[in-house]
Amino acid sequence: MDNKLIISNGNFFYKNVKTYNLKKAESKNNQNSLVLKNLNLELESNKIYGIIGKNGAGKSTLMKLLFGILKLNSGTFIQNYNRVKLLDSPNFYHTELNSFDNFKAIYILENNDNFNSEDYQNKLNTFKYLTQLSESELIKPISNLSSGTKSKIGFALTFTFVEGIDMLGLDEFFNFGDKEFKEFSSNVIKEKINHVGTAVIVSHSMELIKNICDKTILIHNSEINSVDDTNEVVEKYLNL
Amino acid sequence: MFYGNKLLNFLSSIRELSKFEYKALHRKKFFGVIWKFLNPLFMMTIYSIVFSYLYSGGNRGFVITIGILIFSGISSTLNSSTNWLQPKILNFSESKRSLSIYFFSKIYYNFVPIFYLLPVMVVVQQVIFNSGFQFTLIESFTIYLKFILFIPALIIYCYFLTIPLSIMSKKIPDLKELIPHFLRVVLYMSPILWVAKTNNIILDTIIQGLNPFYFIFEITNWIIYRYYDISQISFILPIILLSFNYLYYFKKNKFVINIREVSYLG
Repeated sequence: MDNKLIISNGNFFYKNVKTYNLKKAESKNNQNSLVLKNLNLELESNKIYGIIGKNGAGKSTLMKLLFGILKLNSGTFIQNYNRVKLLDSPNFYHTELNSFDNFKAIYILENNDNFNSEDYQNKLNTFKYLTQLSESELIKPISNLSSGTKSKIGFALTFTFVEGIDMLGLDEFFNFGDKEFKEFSSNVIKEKINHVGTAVIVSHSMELIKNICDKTILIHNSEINSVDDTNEVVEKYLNL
Repeated sequence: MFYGNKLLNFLSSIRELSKFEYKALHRKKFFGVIWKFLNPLFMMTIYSIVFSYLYSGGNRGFVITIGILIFSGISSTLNSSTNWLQPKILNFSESKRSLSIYFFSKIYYNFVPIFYLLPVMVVVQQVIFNSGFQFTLIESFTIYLKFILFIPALIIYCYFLTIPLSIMSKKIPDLKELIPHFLRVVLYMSPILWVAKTNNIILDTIIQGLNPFYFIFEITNWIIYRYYDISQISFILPIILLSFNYLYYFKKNKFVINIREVSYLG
């Protein structure tokens, strides 16, 4: 049976996000104002979806609805994926540790503390490859590195351990200045996602969306404006 | 055998992960990790001197020193636990095992100094506080062994308290401000500095019954003194708390879902 995610006639009000640290006054004034309305969406499996829209359009809210973190006020939500993962920041255990220690800490959490195992060596090699950095960079504490280098290590730490996920969400996860690494990471994600199933990406980078996504969801005026081929939707968004 | 290996692996993972905690927090300091042991050592030395010589507390000084050492482990665990849940936790920890190791390593990190300082306390007891006790070396060593068994039980108790507390602190951020005050009250209401057995039944019941840590220091007193009348009332609240937390957070691993939901808050 194929994995599926369907939302029909979905509505989401502000009162549901009241606990999400909105200012008290703001939440009072907007108690019943809609964040997202008339949501009708069906995600196909083995596809990469992008979500685009202006600031405050509700991209992250839609992401949280898709991943079951927020619940619809009305409408139907069907999702039968086994393992879903929503990432909104790179994967560091502690920024005062160097990359190898961060890797070890996450390896312990995900597996065990057997650093002599074959699995450990394989994952370590994958991690080094995904960073595209030299050993001398990897032994420095993360806090001493440039933001671009941090992003590379965060990306590598995250994607070394992405396994057995049916549905992956990346909310503004990418912020790499380096064009070369952007291309490299796009390809890695595409490859990983082909293994894991469906992915949804929120980004302001149209370049990244065009590069990776098969289909794109445009949110405008609190509604899903269109879900279609990425190039068409991006074009539409730029002309709004 | 299989479960034995699993347990050993679990324990060594906790220890390894807490080492990274030390490394990260003390990296920039000249004495580095040593501070984690120097701080309680200084504290114990000060308490030992104050309660043995300055206040002539006699053998009570030993109970106070050990009690404060244990309390510092509990209080630093509870205080810091309000900040343990961050969105990044979801990047790596979405299984029961991962989350348990993460929490246990944080708790263990706060209790490690106690394991290292207990042998020091045996020496302190023999040298400074033994005039009232008249303990032989074997008796002192037995006390030490009892504490070594008691502290892991305390870590497990803290585990069942800190996960719900971390989750609640995300929902009610004001708890972060309230917890230190609560702990300050609890310190003075625990049988460390004085024992609340005043023969005033109402007062004693309130102090012993409403303090979730009172029983810990009753056991501390019981371990140190040869004869000690343990307050049974003090066990009621911990049992209620554990049962409540089990039903609402740990049964069917509900805490994994709870953590996932609240980690996106704030």
